[in-house]
Amino acid sequence: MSDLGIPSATAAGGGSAVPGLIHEAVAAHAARTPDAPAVSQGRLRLTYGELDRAAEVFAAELRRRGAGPGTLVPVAVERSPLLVAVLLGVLKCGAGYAALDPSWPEQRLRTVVAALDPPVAVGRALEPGRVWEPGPLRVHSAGEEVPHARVGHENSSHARVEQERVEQESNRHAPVDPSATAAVFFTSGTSGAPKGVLSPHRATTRLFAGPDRIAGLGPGRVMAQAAPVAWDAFTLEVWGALTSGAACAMSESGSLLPDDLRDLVSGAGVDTLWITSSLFNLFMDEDPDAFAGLTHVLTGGEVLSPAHVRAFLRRHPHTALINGYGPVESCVFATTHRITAADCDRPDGIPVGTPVPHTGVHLVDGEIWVSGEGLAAGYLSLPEATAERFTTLTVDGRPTRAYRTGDRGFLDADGVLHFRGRTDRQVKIAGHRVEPAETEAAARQVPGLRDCAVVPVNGRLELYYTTRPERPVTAATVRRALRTALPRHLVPHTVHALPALPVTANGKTDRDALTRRSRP
Amino acid sequence: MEATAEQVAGEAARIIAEVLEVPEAPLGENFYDVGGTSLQAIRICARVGRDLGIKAAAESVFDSETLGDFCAGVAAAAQKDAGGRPASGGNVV
Repeated sequence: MSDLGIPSATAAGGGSAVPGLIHEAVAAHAARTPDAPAVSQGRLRLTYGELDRAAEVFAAELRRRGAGPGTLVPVAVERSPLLVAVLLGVLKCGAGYAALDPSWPEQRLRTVVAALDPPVAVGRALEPGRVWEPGPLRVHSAGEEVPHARVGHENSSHARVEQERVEQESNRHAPVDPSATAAVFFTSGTSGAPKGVLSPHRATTRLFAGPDRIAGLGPGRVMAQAAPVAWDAFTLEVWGALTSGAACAMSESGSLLPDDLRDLVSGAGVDTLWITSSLFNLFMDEDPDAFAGLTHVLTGGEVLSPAHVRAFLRRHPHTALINGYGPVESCVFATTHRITAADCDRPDGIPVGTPVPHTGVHLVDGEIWVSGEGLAAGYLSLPEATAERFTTLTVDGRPTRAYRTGDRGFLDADGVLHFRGRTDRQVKIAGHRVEPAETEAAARQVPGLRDCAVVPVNGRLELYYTTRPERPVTAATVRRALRTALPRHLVPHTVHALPALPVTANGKTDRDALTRRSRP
Repeated sequence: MEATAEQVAGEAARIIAEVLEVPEAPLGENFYDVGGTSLQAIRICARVGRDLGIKAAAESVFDSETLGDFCAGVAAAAQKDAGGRPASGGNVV
């Protein structure tokens, strides 16, 4: 308990070393165990040595194109070992990356890339003149034919020259420290534009360095990679594996299906999976045996369903099921909880748990605040939004930088955190963080639309709008316009025209009335 | 006995109707336009995989011009599979 009576729970990090740099942790494994499996996708498999060398090649190229400390590099490449090698290359330059989903609408990609003001953009044609399309992944030591990768010729003069150049370049690594930005995660913003969360190296490495690291990841273990590349869960899946010495097996499908999971377990030896709670429920409904063979399943992002969790624990009694909680502003997780059967019967729901290493949670008037090494530096180019959300709390008499989550919660008698919903309109749709205000702001750009309101109903976004009588716009036109402006998870599922939006007694849009209207 | 393409397409349509909780699948419509969610697309494909043994990507539900096209794609993948291809299951690309 703090001096000011702020209920808090903190974890020091279990005696682990100070969190370091992501690429140095990977390079250390590459030096120690170069032949250990690092990243795979289908038949394409890279060892730590191969991955690290490929990343050095990319780093040299990126450095030549201006990537370095203090710069941010957008990378719009499909989920693949190539993507991992490019991202590692960006980090080796001392720059930070923003992994962007190449399937986002062009307009969205342009907005995000402009905000990053990058020296070079990698992948899908983002900015004419400053785009670099990485060549095929070279696997220098592979003896067999590998799909999607050109096998380098060790004895060719070109390869030798390139190898020498790479070795020279790698000695010129720019010094960056663990507070430098490693990744930018774009998340839904209430102002109508996505917010870039600046996440430092230590926010990632804090989770996987010590003996109490997440899911006990380490050499011999295999983590699945199936989350969208732009999510912080991608960090858990890729860097959680590669900074701890484990392997990362990437799904070949866009959205993970139960049979894809079976393929990952039987084909790549996957033993650890992160899955959103909504997808967890779907798998339990449709194909609960798909989880067979896993030793660790991490879930979260939304409130867990005790019925689905209970069914899982009965069917897979030897699999550790872990509930993870945390906003992207405290990279991946703030707290975790190993779920027991007894948790399913708790009247206050399944807890989200106790802090992960180097992290603290604090309750201020029923709202959850997070502190520690996981915190982002703030939002890209948004000093006001940063100041509003990242402020100083006095905890145990010490000023402590903390992030105000907007989540409501409480600490139970054992000091274990429970989640109780939001203080604002933010919702999760299939694991995506959604600000209905962002969809509303985009809709207001549609010519002919006068006013609108978005209400989330049962995992769907419903848009109600009024039109300008002199220039009426149809629901189909509004929907089409939003599909070209927004990523899929922000596009409303249904669009309804109304003669007028309902208003409350004080003249504000009555969203509750719209929600009641949407419920069957 | 091998199911005909029409039977497989009919099964896919039944799955769509079940998941969308409507009496009959709106085969002439686009999945976006009937207000389908990404979780519903994943659920459709999970059932297509489980019940029909066909691998269909959730993205193909959204990307098909109409839901009828998606069902036809599932049927075509089933026929290809039955045609002695080495793959363990057909694919809807």
